[in-house]
Order: sequence, then structure tokens, then C-alpha cells
Amino acid sequence: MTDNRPGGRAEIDLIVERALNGDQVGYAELYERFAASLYRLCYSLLMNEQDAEDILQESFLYAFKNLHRFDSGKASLKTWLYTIAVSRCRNTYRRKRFLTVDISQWFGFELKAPPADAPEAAVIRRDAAETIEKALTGLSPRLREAIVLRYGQGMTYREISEVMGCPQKTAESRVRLGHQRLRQSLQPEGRGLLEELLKVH
Amino acid sequence: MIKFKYRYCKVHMAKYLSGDLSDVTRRRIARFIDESQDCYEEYLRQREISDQLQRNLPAFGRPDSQRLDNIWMSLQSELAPASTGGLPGPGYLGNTPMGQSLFMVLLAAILLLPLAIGFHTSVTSIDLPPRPKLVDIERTPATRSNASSIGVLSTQSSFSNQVPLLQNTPEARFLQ
Repeated sequence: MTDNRPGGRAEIDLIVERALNGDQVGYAELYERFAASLYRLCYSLLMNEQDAEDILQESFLYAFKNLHRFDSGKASLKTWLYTIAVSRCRNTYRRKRFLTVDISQWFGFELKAPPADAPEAAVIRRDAAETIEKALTGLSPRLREAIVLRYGQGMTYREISEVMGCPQKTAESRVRLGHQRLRQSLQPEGRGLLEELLKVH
Repeated sequence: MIKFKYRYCKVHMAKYLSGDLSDVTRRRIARFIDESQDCYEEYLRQREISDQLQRNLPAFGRPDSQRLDNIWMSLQSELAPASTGGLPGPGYLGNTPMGQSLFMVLLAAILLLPLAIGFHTSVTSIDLPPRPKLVDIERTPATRSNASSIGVLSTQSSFSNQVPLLQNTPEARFLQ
């Protein structure tokens, strides 16, 4: 399974039609085209491999069973699939919000971060993906969705608005706000990170 | 004026960097960046974040093929009964919420029907304890004879042969 970028809309529609006519290869082809990107989306939103796998499976199961409902005139299949997945991700982190409790907040103490000169801190600072993952986790779910769809999936604002179920202007402002929040949280580490990267390259 | 420029840049910078602005706005932002040091610094900061996100986010959680294959296998096994005409599940009545609701109502009715019938028959077949026969006390001979007697009386039928009745006689008054 490779991350094949979906082809043109007409081509996808043909595959959907084939699948609807009972062609099993059509289903496999749709899965092959969208599974990897959909998994990345789910993982970026949930930050958990097992949850991402579950949501991917649920989303495809729902999509394949309801493929006859897909209207290519309203949205692309990619947008439709992303809408299904995002909706399920929302349910998951809504459910988990009640289960995840920060005990340190309950008892009024804060867990100390490793000191800046410790080797662990240096490793963390160099690991750009980890830093961004941490910063993304700090964003509210809606802002995270907007940022992930924009920068992780390269979607246009119009597509983001369709997937998130909001007006395009809202999608734009969510991306902008998310961008600003990330800048605030990444700034202390981000500048160091950039310097490190510049040194390496 | 500088503050206005800075704010304007801050609001539009993300779109400026991704090339989503109109030509007029784009040119204006570019001019502000050239003219104002604050705007330039804002541009550098936001570009840095954008670059990081564009570089790192697409690689986030990239799955290996084995994992995707496993999910596909599970999907196939879940979809197989419906597509091959195997045993129908709840989808037999249609995958619509209406069909599923109807299925659930029918299932509940089937499960509850024997209970309802059983309850009715069990109510009618319960063995009740025998009802005691009512005795018309006022019509018994004892009650009729006791009406004229004084003192403790009992029914004539059971005790008349054993205990003499105290009558309103001179002997009785003597005994008292």
C-alpha cells in the first residue's frame, strides 16, 4: 500500500461507479488511494495509533456501506471521506476528554520539565516532529483540525470548510488562529529549532 | 500607523505565505514588510512556523503497508457477509436508521410476545385458597334462644347438652 495521490475527480467517480456495480476491485482501489492519507489525518488529530486505526476502519466501513449516498455533484470523494473521519475523530476526543484527567492539576503541582541543559532537553529540542506534535496537542480540537487539514493535507480553505462543516471565512480564521497559537507555543523552542536545523544543513 | 500595518500583516500573513490573497492585498502586505521592521519580523516568524508545519505535518503518522493491509483484511471480513449474500445481519432490513429501528421493534415484539401470553395464562391459573362458607349466625337456633337469656351464652347446638344455661329463674338468682 503506497500513498497514491488521488487522481482526477472523473477517474474517482468511475471507480465509485464500478464499486457500486459490485466490482470488488473498485473498493480495493478506493481504499488504496485514500487509506494512507486518511490514516495520517486521524493520527494527526488523535495522536494515537490505535485510535487512528479504529477510526480508519470505521470510516471506510461506513463509507463503503453508504457509497450509494455519495453525491459527486456536492463534494469530492476525498472531502466526503474526510468529513466522515473527522466526525468520528470528534466523537473520540469528546469521549476521551472525560477520561483523560491531569492529576497534577488536581493536586495543584506542576510536573517539572527537564532542565534546558540536560541531554534529554537537547534531544527534544532537536526533534522537530515531536515538538510540533506537542504544540498541536495544546491546540483546541477545532484549531488543530484546521491546521492539520491545511498543512498536513494541503487542502484549500473551501475544502477545509466542507470537511469541518463551517463557512469558508470561519475555516480561514481557524487556520490563522491556529497559526498564531502555534507561534506562541513554539516560539521559545521554535527559534532554537530553526537554528539547529540551519546548523545541520 | 505602524501599529495598523503590523496588525494588518499579522492577520493576513498566514494567507500571504500560502498564496491565498488577492493581488491587491498581497502587494500591500509586501510593501508593509519592506517598510516596517515589525512587519518584517512577523513575516520571518510566521514563515518559520509555516515551513515547519509544511515540512513535518505531512510526515505525521505515516502508516506502514502492513498496518494498512491488516485494516483492509478486517474491512473485507466485515463487508463480506453483506456483499456475498451470506447471513443477513441488521442490514437485512436496510441500512437506513428507519430500517434498523423497525428491526429492533420487531425483535423486541418477538421477545416480549411469549412473556405477555405467559403472564396472562399464569394469572388465570393461580390456585386461590378455598373461600370459607358464610354462616348465617342470626338464623341459628342458638342465637334465637340466647336472645331471652342473661349472662354468658354459647350456641345451643354445641354446648346445650354439657352446660346448663343460667335462666332468669329464682334458682339462678339464689346462686348469684
